[in-house]
Order: sequence, then structure tokens, then C-alpha cells
Amino acid sequence: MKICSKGVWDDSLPGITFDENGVSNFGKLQERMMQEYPRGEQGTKDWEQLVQEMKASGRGKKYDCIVGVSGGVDSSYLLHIANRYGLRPLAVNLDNGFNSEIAVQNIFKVTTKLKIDLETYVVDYEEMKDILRAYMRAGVPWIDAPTDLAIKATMYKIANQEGIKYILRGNDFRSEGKQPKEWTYADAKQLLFIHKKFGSGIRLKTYPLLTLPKMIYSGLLKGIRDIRPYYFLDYQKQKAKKMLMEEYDWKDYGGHHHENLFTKFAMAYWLPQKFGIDKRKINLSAQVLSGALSRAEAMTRLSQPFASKEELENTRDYVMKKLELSPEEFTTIWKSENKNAFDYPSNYSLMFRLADTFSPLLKKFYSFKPMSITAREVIDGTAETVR
Amino acid sequence: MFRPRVIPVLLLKDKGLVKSEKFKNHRYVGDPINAVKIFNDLKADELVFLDILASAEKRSISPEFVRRVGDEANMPFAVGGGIRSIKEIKALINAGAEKVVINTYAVEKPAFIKEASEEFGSSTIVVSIDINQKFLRKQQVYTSAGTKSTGLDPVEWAQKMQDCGAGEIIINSIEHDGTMQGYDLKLVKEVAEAVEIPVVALGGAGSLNDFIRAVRESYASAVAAGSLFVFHGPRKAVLVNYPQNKELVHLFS
Repeated sequence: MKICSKGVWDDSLPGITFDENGVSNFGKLQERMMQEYPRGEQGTKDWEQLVQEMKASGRGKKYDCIVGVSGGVDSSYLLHIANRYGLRPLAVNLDNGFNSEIAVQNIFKVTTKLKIDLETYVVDYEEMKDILRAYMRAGVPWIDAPTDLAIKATMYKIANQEGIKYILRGNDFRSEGKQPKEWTYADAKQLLFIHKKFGSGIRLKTYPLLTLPKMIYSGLLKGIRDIRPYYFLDYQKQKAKKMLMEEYDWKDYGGHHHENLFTKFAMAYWLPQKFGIDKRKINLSAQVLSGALSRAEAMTRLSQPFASKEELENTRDYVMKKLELSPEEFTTIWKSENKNAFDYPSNYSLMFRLADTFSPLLKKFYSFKPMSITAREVIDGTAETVR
Repeated sequence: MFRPRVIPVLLLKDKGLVKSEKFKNHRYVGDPINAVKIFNDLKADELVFLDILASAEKRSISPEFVRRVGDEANMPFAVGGGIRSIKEIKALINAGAEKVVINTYAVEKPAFIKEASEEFGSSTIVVSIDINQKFLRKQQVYTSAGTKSTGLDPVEWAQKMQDCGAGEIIINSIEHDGTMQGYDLKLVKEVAEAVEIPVVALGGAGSLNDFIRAVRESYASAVAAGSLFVFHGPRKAVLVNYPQNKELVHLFS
């Protein structure tokens, strides 16, 4: 197995290439992004300017921005940051029926202590269940894409309703990295296709859909901007975690994104055991390049299991029960052919053409600032999960 | 240390969990099984599950659903909705419920409460009494999810149910339901003083302080709430919550 000399990306990743020094294209993109989004003095300056813009846009209104919250460390800490910079965020949570007790408690504690208003968007679980089952039957790797898409759509929906122009997200490419598009690409068009083909015919009434036209409308016409503060600010997950525990009685939930039980199942069971995909390679590599972790330490962590066998089986059993999948159907799904997102229709190629034609505009709704990485690179090879 | 029980009451409508306001305007609040799992992890004392369509649809709350609740709940829980036979109670107990809650059928056939409590023991049979007031008339007992007035006096009715062998009575104020403005303390007190069996206050709790008042001023043996445990903050965001045990011990000490 070939492993990138800079991180722990290896040749199990689709689209990976290595140069003569054994550095992968993923490693190079990561390094470029780190240059594009400097932290330190420049980053703080960029962020503070954004804060001023947000405050100006929120003048006379109740909120300056929206912060998507999951109860996880990134978004909990983001509320803390927003508060510290004097912003008045509206916290928004998407309830897909799989929130854990720790997640809801964390959201409760942080929003209560900071007196930040919370809005929850609850997707009718019968719809969610049907969509998630359809994704499993479709045999795509990232079966939690419907949740990611719904979170993003909810942010835009509420931003539009409340007249809020800024959406803050807890993404941090320095600790998460960029996922190969084959693993994670998803959009509303594809969701509708997969649901129609593999679902039970239930009509989607509450599931929030951010279609391409809606996205263009919100981003370009209404000027709603997506900001990722950790691209600018010095954010270290471990430190943030410690602070949250001390100041907010926040609780740790174990692995990355394990605050949601379906996400945990997708990351720790479905991907590695059915597809041989270990997303930690991306996350850990990013951390190695950003200096949070040594390469050797990343290797050691990769060799460890996601969770104990028993814990993983419990999570699987709970998911089967919650999705009302019989052992027989689960086996059928498990044995069916592995596909990827590009085996089903999507807006991907349209996005591509748009990216080439309208790349300056596209940058705007990805809101990368300052940005010289092309939109093509952002979409291709780097499609990131929303959380 | 002894303290009154604090009970989340969850309403089932079709397959979803809803929260009502004055028994109307049902707002969808999520998947029942997820809520049960969270209440279980938060160590709630007890749960009550009511199927609000069952009576009208002439069936009881589904034993299959109750079994799924039981899979996630380590705490005792009571279930209600459309119960009209010993056989149905048996199925619900077998599915994992500790108690059953009867409302409409108790009014239609009070002898059934007697029969059921003789069969399963008083502690298994909970009678829920929904109370409302029309214009300037007296408060009276309502059935069929708050749609039918019976003309029955709440206190007399509670006494009768006690005589029939009910082990516990839930007093639910339709007028206060979902308002989060506090319990109908006067009503709870009148009933609690008139019967020997435990009275559970329900309808209107908006803060932990309302629990104290129901216990201290109205002698409720236990307090129950819906909105308080599923909503959070000024925008009424859906977020399951439940106080920690030490908080409750402190509250009632």
C-alpha cells in the first residue's frame, strides 16, 4: 500500500496520485488551502472584518448570524466564539431522529449558559427513515448524505425566513481535510432520484431540499453567505473540548461525529466494513499537516478500531431497529453491489459547467474569502461533507 | 432520598410524537423511539405514552409499538389510548408496559376499572381524567381526547374511580395543556384532598417551580409534563431534556 509521505492518505482513496517525492494530490491541496486561509494575525484580521460585516447586517434585527449546532465539539465551540466576539447568533439544530442524549444535553447546556436562542427543525422521521433506507439500498458509501443535505438546506431555509445573511459552520479543513468526491458527493437532485427508485413512495413533505435553483437564489440574489470561522481562527479541537467541559459541563461522546447515532453507524460500520473506507485517513492527515498530530501518531490511531466490536454491533442493531430493516433485508443490502455517488444522476456535471462558466459567482456562494483556489478544485476531488 | 416522581408524558399520533396545546394544534416533535432512548439515558423516573388517535380509531395503543418502547426504556412506563378489554391490557403488559392508562372507557363502563384492577392489581391501573370548562359552567370531565363532555364532576369522578380500584389518577387540565403557564393548582388540590390514592398533576408545567407548587400547595404525589420536557428556550425548539437527579432531590428538599 502506497502512503502519502506528508500525511496518511493512501491508495485506497479514489483519484489519489503521488508525485516523485511521494506526496499525494490530497496533501498538496491541503497545503494550498492552508496557504489560502492563513490563521494567525492575517486570519484574525479577516475574521474580525467578517464580524464587523455580520454585525452591520444584523443591525436592527434580532440575530446577526445562524450557527448550525449538533452538540459536537466544533459547533459547540463555535457558539462560544460567536458569543465572545459579540455576535448574536441563532443556533439551529436539525433533528433527524438519531440525536444522542449527549448531543441534546450539550446543545441544552451551551445555549442555556450563553442565552443563545435555539431553533430546531424536525424532519418527520417516517420520511427520514425512508430516505436513509433508500440510500442503503442504493449501495452508496455516504449513506448519511441525506442528513448533511438537510442540515445545509435547513440553515438556508431559516436564514431566508429570519432575514439573516450569514451562516456560520464549524467545518475546519485543518482537522477534517477534504473527502474524495466519490465518497461524499451528494445533492438534492440525486436524493430525489435515489428516494424515488429505492424508497417506499412516501411523499417528502418536511424533508428540506436545497435544490440548485434555490441555492443560487439564496446565495446570489439574497446574498446569504456561508462562513467557516475556523478557516481563519486558531482552533484546536482538543483544547476546545477541554474548555467546553470545564466551562459548560459539556460531555465528550467519543469518535468524530458520533453525537448522532446514524452518523456513527455510517462512519464506523457501514463505510469501513462494507466499502473498506476509513474516513479517519482524511481527518488524521489534515491534522498531521496542520501540526496537531505527528505522522506516527496518526498511523497508530489508524491501526485502532473505531469502537469495540460490541459497541459497533449495538449501534448496527439499533439502526436496523430504527429503520425497521429485518435481518434478511439488512443481509440483502449488505451483500448488494457497492456503488458510488456517480452511479446515480446528479447535478454534478451541471455544477462543473457552471463552475467553469461562472466560477467568480460560484465562489461567492461557497464564500471562500480570500480565495484563489478554483471552484473546480472545490467541487472536484474535494467535495466536503457539510458538517 | 424520597422525592415525588417526575414524569414526561409523550403523545403518539400515527407513528410520530406530537405536542398539543389545549389538546389541539398538534405539533410534530420527532420520532418516539429516539425520545424514549434519550429519556432513558437521561434517567427519567417514569414515562407515560398516550396514543391520542386510538380511541377514535376504535383500537388500543399498539402492543408492537409498546414492545419497541420497552426495548429502549429501562424505567417503568405506562401506556394508554383506546383500551377497552382485559385482553388488550394483557397484551400491553406482556409487551413491557408496567401500567396502563384508561380514560374514555372508564367513563363508558366504570365496572371495567373494577374488573381490570381485580385482574391485574390496582397498581397497574391508572385512570386519567381530562378536565375542561365551558364558558362559565363548572369544570367537568371530558373524554375521547378532549372532544366529549360528560357532565361529570372531577372530584366525584376521581373518588368513584378510587372506589373501583384505580391505583393512581392523572389529573390533566385541557385548558392548561401546552401553555407552560403552570398547573391548575386548585383543581389538583381538590382532587388530591378527596382521594387516598396518588394523584399525578398534568397540564401546564412550564418550569421546575411549577413542580414544587403542585406538590407543596396541591399535594400531588407526582408531577407530569409534556412541553417542559420536549421544548427548549423562547423559540420552543424541540430538544428533549430532563433534570438531573441531584437537581430534583435539591428541588424537593
